[in-house]
Amino acid sequence: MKFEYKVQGGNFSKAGYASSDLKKILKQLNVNPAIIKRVVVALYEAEVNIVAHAYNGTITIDIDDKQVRIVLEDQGPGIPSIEQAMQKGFSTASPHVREMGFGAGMGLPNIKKNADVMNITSKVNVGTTVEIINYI
Amino acid sequence: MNNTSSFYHAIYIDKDSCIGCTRCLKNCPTKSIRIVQGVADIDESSCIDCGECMRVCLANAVKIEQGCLESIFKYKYRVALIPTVLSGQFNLDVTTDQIYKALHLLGFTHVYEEEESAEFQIEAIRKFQKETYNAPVISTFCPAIVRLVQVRFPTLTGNLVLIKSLIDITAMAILEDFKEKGISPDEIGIFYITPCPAKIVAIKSPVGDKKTLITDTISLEVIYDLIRKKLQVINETDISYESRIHLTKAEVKWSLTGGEAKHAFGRSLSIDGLANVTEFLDKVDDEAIDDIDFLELRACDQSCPGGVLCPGNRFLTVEKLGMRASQFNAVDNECFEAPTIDFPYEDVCVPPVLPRQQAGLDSNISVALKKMEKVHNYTCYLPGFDCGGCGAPDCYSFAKDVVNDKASLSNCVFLQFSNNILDHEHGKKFIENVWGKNRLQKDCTKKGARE
Repeated sequence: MKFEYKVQGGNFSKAGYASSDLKKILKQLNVNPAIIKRVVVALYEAEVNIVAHAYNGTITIDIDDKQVRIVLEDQGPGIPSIEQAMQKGFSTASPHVREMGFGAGMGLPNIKKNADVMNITSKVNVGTTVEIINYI
Repeated sequence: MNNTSSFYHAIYIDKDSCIGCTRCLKNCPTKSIRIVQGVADIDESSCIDCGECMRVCLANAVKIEQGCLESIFKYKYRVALIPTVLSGQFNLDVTTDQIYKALHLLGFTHVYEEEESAEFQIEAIRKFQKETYNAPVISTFCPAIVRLVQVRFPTLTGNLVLIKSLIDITAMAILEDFKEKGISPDEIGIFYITPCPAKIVAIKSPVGDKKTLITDTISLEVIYDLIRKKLQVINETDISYESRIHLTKAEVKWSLTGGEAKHAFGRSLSIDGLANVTEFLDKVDDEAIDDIDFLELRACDQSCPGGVLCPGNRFLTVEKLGMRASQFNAVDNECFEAPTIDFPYEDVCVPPVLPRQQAGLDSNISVALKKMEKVHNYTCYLPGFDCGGCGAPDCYSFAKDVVNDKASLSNCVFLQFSNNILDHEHGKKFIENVWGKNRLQKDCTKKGARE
């Protein structure tokens, strides 16, 4: 089953909409609560990344009886060094974003920790695509 | 785990009084009501006995099961265990003493207050807070909240306080008192005067604890009327009884919003009203709240003063209890003998609360996925304005009912119209299945359609 969500850069008040919705869906499907927790945390972090860094993005969620596959595709500045971005504490977030309690440099490491598979590709000045897979 | 098919409920629909409208249907926080054959029908596995249906019913068709005053006389020692909100129903010119006297005139031999054990209980809760790993800790003061968590937030059952309720601890203390006087428990009947149906269920069918010490419950509404009558004659009657008013100022205000939270350990919040509680628990469930230590959650607006069996206006009750509390403080506390409520921690602990086995769409993920696809497909065709005409509270719930073979798509009159498959008579049958026979005939005596 497929679900699609639009995410707007800078709109922090709506950040977390997709992850909250996904949580409700997975609850209905009786997925193990521990797995739901991991999926939701991973998606939430990735969602906030788009809001904090990109101009806009699309989240596509594909659920079957084996896995939840999430693809987040954004138009934005892209990531010059993915290796650096994956380090805990590394952040390019603006002071404005940090003031709101985001941008601690834990986003990508947290996604990696909670996803069973995580792939990330990025082009500077074009955008970033993050793929998150969790087995259910 | 509880058996899904046998949940005890204090609330039931009086099918003869029910006029078949959509008020309870729309206001049920767990979407447990459907209209079948013209009357409301409550799903036992998801009803939390919060009493919202009772509150909104125009026809007085939502009733509660409860004991009657006559039944107390089976016991030699008849204890009225009252919540402070009972005193809060009366104006301040009625003294607590007079209320106690009236209860004695009604036949009770002893009066105890539920909140007498509050200061003891909160110490146990603070100890529990230090030992548990799950934050925020959720108060179990309100039984409707415990059941809401079991039904709608199963992952949060581990956050519930696992300490006996005030009612149970006070009852333990009462029995202890009697034991010291050499009175056998068989001779004692403890009757809880309840402000809501949820507390009846908590007593008759406790979730964590195995058994209760309470003999029966009597509605606060009923007792209030009886006390009012006795108050008129009370001054001419001189009766002697054991006066025991032991509450502290904090305990008088315990059942008000914020009354409990401020005594808990760490950062705490108090939230009342089911919609507010649900909104916040959704956030807790999202892991979005991790720096709150204690949640005092109450189903009714203004907490117990808003209980559906409290006759007084809830805002006035809050104000009156506040006034009573300050009066208590003015009195020299030493006049009152402090109750001997002191039990070992282990004696007031209860086993973990488990989620109700109310699965999502199906226990098998593949089947659940197929069902979800169907539900989404149906919602594409349904009008989406949640009119309730099909007998379900909204289009989504209706689609789920159809997928679970609990309803027919033809119950939606708008689908009937747009599909044009059913002839007029056939369509009418579906409507009558939900709303009862002759519902579509002219009727100037019906209770609905009135201002």
